[in-house]
Amino acid sequence: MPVAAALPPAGGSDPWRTFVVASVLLALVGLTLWGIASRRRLAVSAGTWGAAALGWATGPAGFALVGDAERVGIRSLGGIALTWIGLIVGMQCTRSLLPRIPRVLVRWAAWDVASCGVVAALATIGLLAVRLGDDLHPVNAVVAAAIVGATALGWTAETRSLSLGTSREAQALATFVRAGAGLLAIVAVMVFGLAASVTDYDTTGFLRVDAVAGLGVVATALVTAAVVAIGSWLLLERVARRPGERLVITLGALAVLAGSAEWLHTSPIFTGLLAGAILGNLRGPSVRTLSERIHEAEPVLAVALYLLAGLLLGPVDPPLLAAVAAMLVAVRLFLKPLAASRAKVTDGFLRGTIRSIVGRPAPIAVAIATAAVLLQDTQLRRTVLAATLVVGAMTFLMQLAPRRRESR
Amino acid sequence: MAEADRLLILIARTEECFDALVTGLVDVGIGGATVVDSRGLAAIVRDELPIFSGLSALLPVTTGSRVILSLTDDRHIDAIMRFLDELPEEARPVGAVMPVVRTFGLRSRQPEAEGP
Amino acid sequence: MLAPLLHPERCLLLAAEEDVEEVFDRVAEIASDVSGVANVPQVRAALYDQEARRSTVTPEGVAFPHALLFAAKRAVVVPVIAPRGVRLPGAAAAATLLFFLVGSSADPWAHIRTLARLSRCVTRTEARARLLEAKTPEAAIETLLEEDARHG
Repeated sequence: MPVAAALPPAGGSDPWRTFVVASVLLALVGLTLWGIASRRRLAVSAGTWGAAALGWATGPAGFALVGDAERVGIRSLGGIALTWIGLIVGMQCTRSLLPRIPRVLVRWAAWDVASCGVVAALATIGLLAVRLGDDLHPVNAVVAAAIVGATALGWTAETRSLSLGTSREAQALATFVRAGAGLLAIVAVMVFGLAASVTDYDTTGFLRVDAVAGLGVVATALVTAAVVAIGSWLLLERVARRPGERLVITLGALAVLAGSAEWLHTSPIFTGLLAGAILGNLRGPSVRTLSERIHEAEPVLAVALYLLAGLLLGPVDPPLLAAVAAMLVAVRLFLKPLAASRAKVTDGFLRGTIRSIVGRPAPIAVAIATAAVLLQDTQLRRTVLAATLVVGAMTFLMQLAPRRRESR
Repeated sequence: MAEADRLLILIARTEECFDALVTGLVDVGIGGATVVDSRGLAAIVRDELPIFSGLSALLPVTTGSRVILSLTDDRHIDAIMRFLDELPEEARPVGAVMPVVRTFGLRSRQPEAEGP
Repeated sequence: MLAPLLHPERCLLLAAEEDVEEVFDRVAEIASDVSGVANVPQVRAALYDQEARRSTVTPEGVAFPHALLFAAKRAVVVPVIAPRGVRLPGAAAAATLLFFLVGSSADPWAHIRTLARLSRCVTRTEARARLLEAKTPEAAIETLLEEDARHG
């Protein structure tokens, strides 16, 4: 790109470049935090998508301002960020929450998995077969399908911008939307985590399935997550009133989980989920405090995630990108409302609004697609990541258009 | 009976704190108070703009914190402050005392003469 | 605040383990005499039933069995110090410090305030320990009055 030629070469230390990038990033974090504090979803979205754009601009797909050495560091930090996201998702799996999930929500989630996740996965295999023909490796295709299927699950949990109203039905729907998004985030991470755990690259560069080894990976990840979760909990109980030490323990735990995922060749978002599920079920004020603190960091984490996603964009397969993106849009536009209808979520109430609710991709989709690239940087996975970002960006831009309100 | 010219606001974040507060309020002679179930602002913001999670929307709306409002006077305020000083730090509420310009609708309350 | 309600003659120290029914019998007799309610079984039943309906035993082993009676002319507190513990009806654990309170239904506010003050007097671990170590009713009442004075 001509502009890139005018810029200082990447890989060298350029304080001005670092200053500019850091300033823009801080501004985006500030915008996101302001959006959260003032409860403006568009500001939050603008912050995160701005970070994605910044990541793309500074990454190899853009102006290549980030060098190889910096990419190694970003990779490590990315692992910690993904572990953190997994922890947030996993901490929903508590004994007090899971039994509260109503049947209609389970039905909705099941329909979403069957109609959207499975269809998106099968469609991906079809698209890959058409695109790659004889070059298609079955295991690669199935894993890519699992990744796309996982990213097709769920929707954005936020409901404030939907202005559903204050009626009981509207509040019930808002609750289902938020809870359903949370539930499907768990399912999506589990699907991806298991797919990542039972497969590994062989010496020829192709994925192979090894169920036995995969079970070993999952078991080891579970044991590691349990040790880290319980160990952190014990330490956090001892330092209940010392926030500095609490932070150190939390970051240390995240680092150990991310490192163990790296060692096991599985995804840090998966080990984070396992640890979160265990931690969420331990009692004590330290768990409550930890939950509050890690949730407070969600906006910053989202900015970091989207920045990382942008940074990881690289050479993609344009026709495949367009096809996967179009397929995901179709799934969101047509199959998701169908799933909600089959699950009888609204019983007719606000049926028209459901389309716009479930059409919004879940941020966890970006996390999963990013985790996939971080696990193994291949053109196929980068294409899936790009497709996920394109669909999300399109949805964001559509939000900026004036909306026709459904009469209530 | 002293005029109720202060509004006492106490926010009890936990059940233990609330139980202790009730004992203290009754003991110092504050008989009229209103208790409101409440949620913290952080909890509301988090629930309205969840990013990666959302299952906690299934939990009851309140988080176990309660706000106690009472129209009272300086004498009782001083007594309740002495009581709060005796509480362990983690059981202490957040609170404020505000001057009241006018009150209405108050019934005459139980013996204030027996106060602290 | 508690001074008018306490007297060593109305304080029981149980050195040995006692049956809960006997404790209620003894307390009801004392409370009936002081409160002016002639019907001792009525006092007993009121205290027992209230406690059975809703246990007042705290995790620290302190109980506040109480009853409001229309016929009561004055309130009375009967402290019972039972280091061996007494298992009250409806309670998951035994209570070692029991403060029986009979009040007049004409003055429920005073009744509640007395309960609150009693609760406050036994909040401190040291206070509870002193009460349990009291060798005589006089020592127990003195401890209670000191705690009462601390809270103004």
